Amino acid sequence: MDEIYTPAEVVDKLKASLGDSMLDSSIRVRAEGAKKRENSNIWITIRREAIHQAAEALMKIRYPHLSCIAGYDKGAQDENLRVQYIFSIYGGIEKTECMVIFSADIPKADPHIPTITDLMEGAAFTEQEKTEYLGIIVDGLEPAKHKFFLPQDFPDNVYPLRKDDKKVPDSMIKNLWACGRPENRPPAPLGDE
Amino acid sequence: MAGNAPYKVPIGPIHPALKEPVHIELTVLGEEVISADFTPGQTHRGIEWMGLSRNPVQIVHLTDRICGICGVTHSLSFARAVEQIADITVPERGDYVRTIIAEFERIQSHLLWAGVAAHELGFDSLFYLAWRVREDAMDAIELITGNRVNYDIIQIGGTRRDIVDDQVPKIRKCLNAYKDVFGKLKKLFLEDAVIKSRCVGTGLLSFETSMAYSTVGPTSRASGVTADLRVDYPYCAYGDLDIKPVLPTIYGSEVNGDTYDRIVVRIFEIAQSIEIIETCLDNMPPGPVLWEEKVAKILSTCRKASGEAVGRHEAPRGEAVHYVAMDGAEAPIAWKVKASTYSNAHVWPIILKGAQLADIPIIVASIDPCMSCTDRVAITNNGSTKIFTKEQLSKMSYEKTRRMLQ
Repeated sequence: MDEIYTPAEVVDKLKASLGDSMLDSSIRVRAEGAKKRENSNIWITIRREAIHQAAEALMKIRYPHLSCIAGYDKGAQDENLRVQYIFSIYGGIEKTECMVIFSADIPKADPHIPTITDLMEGAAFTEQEKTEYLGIIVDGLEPAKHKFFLPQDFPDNVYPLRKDDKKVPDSMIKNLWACGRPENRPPAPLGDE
Repeated sequence: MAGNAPYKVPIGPIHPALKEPVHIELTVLGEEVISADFTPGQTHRGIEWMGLSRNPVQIVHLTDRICGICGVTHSLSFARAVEQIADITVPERGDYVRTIIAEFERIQSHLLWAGVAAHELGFDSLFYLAWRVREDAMDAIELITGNRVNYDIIQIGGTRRDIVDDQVPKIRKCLNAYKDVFGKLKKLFLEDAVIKSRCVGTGLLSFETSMAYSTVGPTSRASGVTADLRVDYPYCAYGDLDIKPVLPTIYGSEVNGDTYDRIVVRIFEIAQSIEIIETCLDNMPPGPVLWEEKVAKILSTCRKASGEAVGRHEAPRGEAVHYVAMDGAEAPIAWKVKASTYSNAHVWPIILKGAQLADIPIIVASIDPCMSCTDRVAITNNGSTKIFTKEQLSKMSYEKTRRMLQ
């Protein structure tokens, strides 16, 4: 079995591979239960250009588990989106698993990220989600035949998690409380009290 | 219809073979599936979008309604993420109550799945038995939380209810009933000739594919991946326990990664959950279950907090992840929900390839897909048909919970 590194060693190794592309890093520890067993999460901010390189560097340490790629719009006035690649390594080894989360800013003017499906086939599903929800274009990912997360008739160029001019327009929002009872239905069997 | 030309068979979104809405399109040559495609997202509700205009305490109640089976999974993952951002320490007893309710959820969810699997195989008497047995866990959950589904027991900083001494004998009685019936369940599901012939060697998922697709939970473990968050990344009270991930080898079989192995893993996880609950009940630390009783104070702490965190929980179907980012405002700036099925559903096209058309329902069900929600009884038919209004149903459910508390 490969050597198991401590979270600090993992950060050092990633720093050695990524160099200047790694903007900052921190290790956060959380302990719960009566015995206060510690879990480590490594948070790393990288440049967008280094996403593929970061996944590759992590893979050299240990084959990771990719929980998902999260992402959000930093605000209507902000020029960037932000994505988080939520990985974990040493899964399957008792009390050792450690999360490694790479975050990167993606400019809205040029929302491209490289695919990592050449490293992990299964990443395609979550990469596709970023396209549908945030309008991020995944370079190298084969275009999907249909939408996976949104209804098939969802309009183009509207992305539900965006907060700027590409957000869901007010005309598409239906407030349940404002709907009232539909008029073309038969009366309720026991009255509408 | 001419010759052996490949035919497209669309199944769903609504179809008797599916329990929840998903569209599956199969290309078949004769009886054999040569390729499969699937379209989830049939019940997209925009929950993440709704969360971005609510405060964390409101979102906890919203997370309860993400899924009708995993009533505690999402609220626990979300609460754990917020607790990390706001640096809130959950009292030890709160961790234990969380663990107990999460394990009861696993018991009822696995039994629900076992019933559905039996139904998909056409073995309906076993389906009735599994769901009858499941009622005991539902009653225990109702006793602890007050609700059968949408438990609403998790709060930021702990749980909203404690397990009091009076409840413990009833919970133990429920666990003992499961111990008595476990041998029977094991025999019926694992020794039945028809179940074996339908499930052994079908829906194969290799170890390598499981890793490359980052699958989670029993679906992974049936393929020999030892990953189990409760063991690898202990949170709540799991770090205090001595547990090992359940693999198909527990039943003396080799790891094949087929539908049968997924049944083995889930059946034995029920036994494991019973043990976990018993250990937790024996070792419950004294003290409060909630970091702060006053909701206003929880909210003011959350409002001051900023940062990002990931909350994870090993749900019955596998890892659930909530990513939350807050920047000192009322509502979070980001909230991402990764449910277990998100990581499992995308292997459908792989495990369906080469399958026989008749095996599709059980193979699709074998990953225990959870697409949307379950509901409480709406109509009963007892000689005469009567439709209950929402108010009558609420009144009846209050009365039932009170009867249990007496």
